[in-house]
Amino acid sequence: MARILVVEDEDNIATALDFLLSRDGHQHRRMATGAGAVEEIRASHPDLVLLDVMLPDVSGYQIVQDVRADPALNDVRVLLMTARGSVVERRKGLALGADGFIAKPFELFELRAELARLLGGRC
Amino acid sequence: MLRRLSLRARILLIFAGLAGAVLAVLAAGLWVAGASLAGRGVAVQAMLDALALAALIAGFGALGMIVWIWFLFDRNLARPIELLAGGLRTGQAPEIEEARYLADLGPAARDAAEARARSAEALADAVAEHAADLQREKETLESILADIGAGAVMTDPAGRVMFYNASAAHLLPGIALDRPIERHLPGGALEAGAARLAAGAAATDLTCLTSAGQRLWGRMRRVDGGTLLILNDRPPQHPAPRVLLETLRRHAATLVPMLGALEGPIPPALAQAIQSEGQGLANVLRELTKAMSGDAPRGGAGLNELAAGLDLAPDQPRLVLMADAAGVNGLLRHLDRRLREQGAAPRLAAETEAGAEASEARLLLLWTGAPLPMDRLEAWLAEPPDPAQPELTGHEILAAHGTGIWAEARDGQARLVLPLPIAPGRPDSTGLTYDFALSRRGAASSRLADLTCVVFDTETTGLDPATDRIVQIAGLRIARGRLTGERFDTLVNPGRPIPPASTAVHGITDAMVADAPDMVAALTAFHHFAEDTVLVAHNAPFDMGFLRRAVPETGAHFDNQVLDTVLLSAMLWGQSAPHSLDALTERLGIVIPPEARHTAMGDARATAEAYLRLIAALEAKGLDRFEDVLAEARRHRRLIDDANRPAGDAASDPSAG
Repeated sequence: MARILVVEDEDNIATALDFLLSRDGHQHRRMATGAGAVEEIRASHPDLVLLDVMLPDVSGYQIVQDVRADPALNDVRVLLMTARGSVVERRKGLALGADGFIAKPFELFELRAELARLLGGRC
Repeated sequence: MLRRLSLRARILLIFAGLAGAVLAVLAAGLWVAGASLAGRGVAVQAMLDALALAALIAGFGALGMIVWIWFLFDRNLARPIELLAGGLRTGQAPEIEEARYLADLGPAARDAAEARARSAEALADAVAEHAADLQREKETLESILADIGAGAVMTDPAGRVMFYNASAAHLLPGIALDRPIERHLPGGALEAGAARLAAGAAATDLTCLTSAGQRLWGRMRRVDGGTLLILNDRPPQHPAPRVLLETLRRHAATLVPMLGALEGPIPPALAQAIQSEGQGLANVLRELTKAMSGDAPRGGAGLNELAAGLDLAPDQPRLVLMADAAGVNGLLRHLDRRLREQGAAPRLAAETEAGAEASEARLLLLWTGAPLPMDRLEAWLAEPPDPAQPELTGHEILAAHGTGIWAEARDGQARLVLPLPIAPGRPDSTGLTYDFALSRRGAASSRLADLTCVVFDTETTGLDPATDRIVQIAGLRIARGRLTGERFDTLVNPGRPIPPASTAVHGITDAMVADAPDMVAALTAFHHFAEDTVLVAHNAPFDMGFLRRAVPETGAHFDNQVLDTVLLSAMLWGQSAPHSLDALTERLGIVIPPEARHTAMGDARATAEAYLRLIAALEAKGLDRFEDVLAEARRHRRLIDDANRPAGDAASDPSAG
């Protein structure tokens, strides 16, 4: 069981994630915009941030960059989600400091595998 | 006979005759007067003495006048006429000073010569201008053809290659002038295409498989009795997205009604069906993404081209990247401009993974300062670098290249990173190989002048093929008595240290061959290059010995026929003459630049030039067929022993290699 922050603007995906994460026993909350996300991460210090890249206000890449610029958030894992599936997007995310990357549409087992990898024993 | 004498000599003879005749007439008159007055007393004798004196004076006077008149004639007529005639013949305008006795003839001749010189000069100018025009047109056409991206191959009516560009060499490895194109494009595709052309089509589409199994698409056109092929390694349209879209539609068509039925509890069979369709949908999307990113530009752009207008860091690698130079350069300049507005002074650099076979380079915009916030970068990428093309934003340019750009901080420097694939190596930059005269020089035969040859040379770790190894091999192709311009040249890693004594000869060191291909790779490639040709070498048993000793290791059997320039030289100058490459080239007036001697390519070139002159000389001697030369060679048994037969020990001659 881990504490997860979902930053996702699309309600349907957020609903699906809410269902899946709850079923797997994770404690999670959702933000629908990027604004204030970094502050929220600082305040609640989650184990993992499930972060959409294409948010309407602030880009997910900017949030990763800001999180990684703060040494206090070193142990917060960031898993990026994007509908742009290219290999370069993955490299770009990882280069900016994200810990993992999944392309939409992802399958349940992919999400579970990434969460298991990043959270170690906590899931 | 007089005609053979010069004009001046003939005139001299005429005047000499005239002088003789006057003297003879005077003498005869004197004799007649003497005879009629003979015996008439002393007074008469005195009169005769006076007459003789008068005749003597008259004779000398007449002689003097004749000589003077001859002199005037010679100086003012005969000599100027000769000068004029010589001048007119050679086109030089004669001096008119001395020709004043010739009235208008002198100036007229001068005018005529000058007019002729002017018209000759004008003609020469016109010819030179026309030749320069043709040369310019040829160069323009060459650069257009070199740059069309597609592979272009032209064959003669017999299907032999007489033109190809660098892209064709890339698509059809081992393509060479005078080889049948069918060898590279086997199967019935060419034949079927030819049948369509014969049925009246001006050009026809073509899909074929190369001998290496790669599928090519292109057009085929009849040109001058032969065929022009334009070949691509991707189809004119992508069939993949169409197929994928159909699959996508099928999954969606199944999924949508099933999702509509999701009210109340879901039966397990329906849940499974939904899951399976969802998986199908995800797979198709992945395939579609891959297919779309396959559209990335395939043109090559040099790093310096992409850096135009930017501050390029020093000592950058020489790179050619697969990129649309206009788009990427425009984007880089746009980012550079925006960064400078922020007070940064970025420089462009490129880095590649360590290792010889890097497939990707990262373009870097580097500056000292804080890393760029991604939001700002994303905003800049949403702008069009060229305001005249507002729809072409940075994002679009990156998407067209299947790549992205991001900000990093590394080693105290901020940077933007843009990965791009490195363009696969192309044979050379101009990349056109052709000889349109091939088709006019008749069919291949066993005439020496008609053979297709590869003249080659090796440099080695030592002189013994049994224990030493090749460190460099170079070859040049000759088709129908001309160097085609196709060349093979590589260092070879012998897999062991090169003795200093050998390095002293050829200058090749261990460091130079460290990254070179090994013997298997080098000889396999050379085997491909020399396939179906006659191998020519200077002291061939030496070089063939190395090739044949390597067979167990490389598997490349060189069962080509072999000609030895030592042997050809012996046929012309006898066995006792010196036949070292230096002696032979000196005799034939071939200059090897000192720095090229004892490099495989330098010696191969000298041997090739010597070979071309030797076969011309042998032809004059009546030895113009390969079999004649072989028969003649049997008389020089020591020299032929091993070259055409894989046998035991090869002779080693320190003058070769």
